[in-house]
Amino acid sequence: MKNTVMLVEDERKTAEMLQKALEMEGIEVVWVSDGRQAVESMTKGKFDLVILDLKLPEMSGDEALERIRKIDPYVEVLVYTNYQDPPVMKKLINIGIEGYISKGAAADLWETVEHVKRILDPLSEAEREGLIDSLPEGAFHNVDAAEKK
Amino acid sequence: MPRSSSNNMKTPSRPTKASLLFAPGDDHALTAAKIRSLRASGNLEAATQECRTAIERLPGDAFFPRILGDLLFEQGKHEEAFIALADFLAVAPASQQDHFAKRYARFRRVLPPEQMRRYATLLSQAIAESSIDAILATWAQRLIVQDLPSAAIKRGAVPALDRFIDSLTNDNNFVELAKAEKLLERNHQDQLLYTLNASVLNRLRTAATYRSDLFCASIYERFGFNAEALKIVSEILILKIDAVAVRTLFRLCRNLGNYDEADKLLARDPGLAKTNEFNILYELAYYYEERDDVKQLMAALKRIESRFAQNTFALRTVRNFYIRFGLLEEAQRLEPSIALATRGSGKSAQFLENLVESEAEVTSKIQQLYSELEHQKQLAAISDLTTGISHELGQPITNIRYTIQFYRRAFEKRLTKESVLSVFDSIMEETKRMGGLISRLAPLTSSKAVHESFDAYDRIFKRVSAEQARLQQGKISVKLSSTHPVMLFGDPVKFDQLISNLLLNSIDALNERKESRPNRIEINLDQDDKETRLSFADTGVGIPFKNRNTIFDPFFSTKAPGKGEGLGLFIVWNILKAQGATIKVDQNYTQGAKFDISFPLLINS
Repeated sequence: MKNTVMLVEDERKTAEMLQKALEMEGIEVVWVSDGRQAVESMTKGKFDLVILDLKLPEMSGDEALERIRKIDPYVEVLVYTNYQDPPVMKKLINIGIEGYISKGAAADLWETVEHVKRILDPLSEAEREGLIDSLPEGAFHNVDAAEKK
Repeated sequence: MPRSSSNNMKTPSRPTKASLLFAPGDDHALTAAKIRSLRASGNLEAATQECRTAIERLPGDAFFPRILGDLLFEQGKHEEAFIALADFLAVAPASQQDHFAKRYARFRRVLPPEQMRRYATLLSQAIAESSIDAILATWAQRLIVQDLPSAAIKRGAVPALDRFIDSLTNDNNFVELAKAEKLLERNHQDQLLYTLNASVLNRLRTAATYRSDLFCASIYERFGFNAEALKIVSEILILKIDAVAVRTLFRLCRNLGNYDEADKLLARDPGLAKTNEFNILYELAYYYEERDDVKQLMAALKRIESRFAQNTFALRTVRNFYIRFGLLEEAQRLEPSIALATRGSGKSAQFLENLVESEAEVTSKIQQLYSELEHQKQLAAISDLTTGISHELGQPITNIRYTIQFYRRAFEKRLTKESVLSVFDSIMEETKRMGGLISRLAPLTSSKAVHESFDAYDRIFKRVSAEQARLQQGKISVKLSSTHPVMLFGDPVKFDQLISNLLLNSIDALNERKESRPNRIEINLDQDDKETRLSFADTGVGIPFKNRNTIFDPFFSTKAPGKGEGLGLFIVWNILKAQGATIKVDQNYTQGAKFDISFPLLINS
């Protein structure tokens, strides 16, 4: 199943690059540029992940997050910012976010994409195979067979 | 080269920099977040269940019983909620007394009195038998005592209590009442408070018990029950205005952080603002400060000054207010009067000399502290500036990095001529943006100062003309006036930057204003043999009193994000500082914002 991400980012260029990179990895992206639109676009279960910029026009990122959580308490949220204001971060951690990514000189597009992929799908195909392989032979078919080993 | 080889990563759960913040295994935080989201989604039962298991798993954690109580209360399960509140009290540290008080008050609002009596009795017994924090226990008992059945206090057991209750009925017994109260306060505080709750708090206010009621309010206040004290005082003030009661009401409002009752009183009796009572004027100063009414605030202080010109104490109080508001010139202006008043108070000459001297030193010392503070502020401003710049530069840097990183990978697959060109264009655009920020800050950095004589009026006129488009768009009229030609000596380019920033600041303030009032900017130039004065006034949104000290800070902006970066007035302030000029906000101007700028006249210019 294809994963869908909502990207809330007022920087057009940043959004464009991240959207292209995520789409290249087979992730569907809905881009909105302010907090109000983010809340309006939100419906329960529609998105697997929200990537949220904290400094947004119209409605601040943390206020938007609070409203998004009201609509869908289970959606995963990745905060995406180029500043780490301790009180704001603390508040966000309380509301519950999965992590944050730095902007600025340390910004790394593909690390961000990896981060997103890890949240959406914690195991890669190869790792899934590996895990299944590491199980005792016939674990799913014959419990006795496993006990003998 | 990429800094970390994300491609070779084996373990998918390897903690990243970010996820370290949310260390796994923090049971409290995780459970709290879970409960919070269940609650937010309206699933109260699941949240309650989660809370109950958390309490079993984490005994001694005061958070979960508290939230459990809230959840049960929300579901209307009052008895269970009350038990949870008691459980909370059993494990809560003393610092959480407000949490308890708030919730206890909530029960009192919804439960019928006899049910409350039952709960209160049970809780009171439980506290007496438990070993909870002593401070918290005393505090809780004080709250609970108001709901305990009256049988808890027997008449005849404590003679002072009987005398107190009997004397309450008439002010003629006031002396007896005060004596009995003293005894009770020392030995039977709980019963005293209970009696106040039972006999005074809700009784009818009459002229015959005015003094007793006011006295009881003062007892409440002493014990920290400001809301009860305020209830009594505001009720007796309907009966009759009394100076002590008025002052008490204002003080209680101030301590409660809510001036609603004071508003009501002033609406009923606007004449109070014209009082000559020192203590009321003192409280009024605080009130007007809170209400952001600078005009009335200054009027109240000036009133104290003129009514109590001979009173050292009153004058010092006013001076302290001025110091608090950072109005140092006003404070200094008072020094001679304070010295004079002190001299007249008939103390020994030698002693007086010292006192007068030390008084005068206080303000100069404060002045010194202020300039040190000013230095601190400058350092803080630099830090704000750096944060702001790194933030502003962060965006284009991110964009460049992302663009390159994206197309670098795309290049490994296939790259068209168009996409390469778009990378180039994008990077050019971002560097232009970074350059823009640097040139915006240029007035602060360029050190090559030109010094020449120029016509200030002429340059202002040209700046105003340059902004003609924006002025017309906002339907703003500009009035520029000057008594005579004003020549300034300095860097004319800096002067232009100063005027442009002030103009743009005013235009924004005018565009932001909601009420209808003519859009006007008034610039006035004036010169004498000491200084050149430039006043810059607009009819825009104005500056709230509380922002008076922060408007010149870098990246401070009241505008919506993206509407202004908050550098204009910071640049103004810096340009002026470099020229040895000063800028002040005129607090008496209420039609918008007015800046008074003063350039010292250079010698030999």
